[in-house]
Amino acid sequence: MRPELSNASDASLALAIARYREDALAEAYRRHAGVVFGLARRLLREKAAAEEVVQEVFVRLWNAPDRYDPERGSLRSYLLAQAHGRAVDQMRAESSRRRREEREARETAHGGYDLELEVGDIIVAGQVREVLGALPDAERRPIELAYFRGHTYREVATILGEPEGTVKSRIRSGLKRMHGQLAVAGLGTKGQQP
Amino acid sequence: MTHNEIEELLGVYALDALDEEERREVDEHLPTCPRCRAELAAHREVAAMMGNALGESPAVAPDEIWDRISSSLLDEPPALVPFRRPGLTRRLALVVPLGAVAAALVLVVALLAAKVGNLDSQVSSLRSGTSFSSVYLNPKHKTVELASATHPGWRATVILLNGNGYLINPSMPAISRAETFQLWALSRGKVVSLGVLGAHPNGAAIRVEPTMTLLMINAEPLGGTPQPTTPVLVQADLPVGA
Repeated sequence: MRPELSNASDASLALAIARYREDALAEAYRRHAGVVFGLARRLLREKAAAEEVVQEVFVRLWNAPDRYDPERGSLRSYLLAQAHGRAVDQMRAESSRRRREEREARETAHGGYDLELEVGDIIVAGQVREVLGALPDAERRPIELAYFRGHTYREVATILGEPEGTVKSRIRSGLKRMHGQLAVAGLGTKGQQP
Repeated sequence: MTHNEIEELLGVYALDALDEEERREVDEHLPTCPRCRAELAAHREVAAMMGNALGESPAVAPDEIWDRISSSLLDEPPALVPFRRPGLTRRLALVVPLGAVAAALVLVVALLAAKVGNLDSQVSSLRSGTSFSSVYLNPKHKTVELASATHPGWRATVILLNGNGYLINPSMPAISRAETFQLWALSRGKVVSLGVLGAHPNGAAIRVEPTMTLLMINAEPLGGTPQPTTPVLVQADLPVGA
């Protein structure tokens, strides 16, 4: 690897990738593949499926580097968003959906599936954990079901027995609340809530 | 869907929790609404922070994934999207009602959009949501003429607006079947490939970054090369802010 890449900004890295520098893609992978894999694994549970998502995300970065706009946020955020979208697509594919439903049915049968307990499992990191955990249940639960379980908001409404309009409003207000509290904690720079 | 209805969907949009049809409606609204874009950026930031912090740990990707990625990469420049300009001659413009011209353009744009949709991996140079007609019909577009210092017959035209460009009317020398024309730009003192044009280019959609100051076309071995290996055939300076 050429030495300058190890300290390169996201924008410089993306530009180098656009110029067919594989060492720049390798540097992006070194920096971000771990968390991308962690999120995909969190969502899909299956290692092979998560690996596939990581591969897709980085190959896409190579093929279409200009889809990443440094003005809109960090490269890590972009890659995580890409990974989330792909993982959710997989979860909603019929075969994946069936496996997931079977797994969730087993978890319920064993008495192991409880959203409150699940929350304890997924919360692993400092301030994000605190902020998510501090949300009112009415906002936190739909956010978790949508983001970490890959459900559409209509499905979330069915699961929670709430009107669809209520669910989308609560997801929105919950995200706004988190954004405000993360900003107070010194996290977050892009985007402003009106 | 009204602005307020779209606004209500921004949270679920950021979490990838919308149905496809609603997602499309939000996608169509966003380019027109800075307020919604700003709110969505904030939601996405929160989503990214959750993804970053709450994934499975330890967050270490297996080495074999990189090996698979590395071996699957194409080390050739992408082919530019083939593109044929609508036949807007002066005579046609005079005798055909404006509405018919507009309809023809809409058809061309629709066909182009369909083609672009099928070539997702090849359209890194084309910003989505733009079209030849929207650039060509906008009076603010700029025209750049690529020319040869030695052969007056070799030339090509690029029309530009806000970084979206279309290479049109190329007139280039004959090359062998083992070669392709390739489009290059000078950016921050370095030559970067914008893509290959084939041996018989009709035109192409391209993306021009603000850092680019010069456009060039040369002939390269089939498939193109990461860096130019033969002399430039035609070139033109790019206007500042193109």
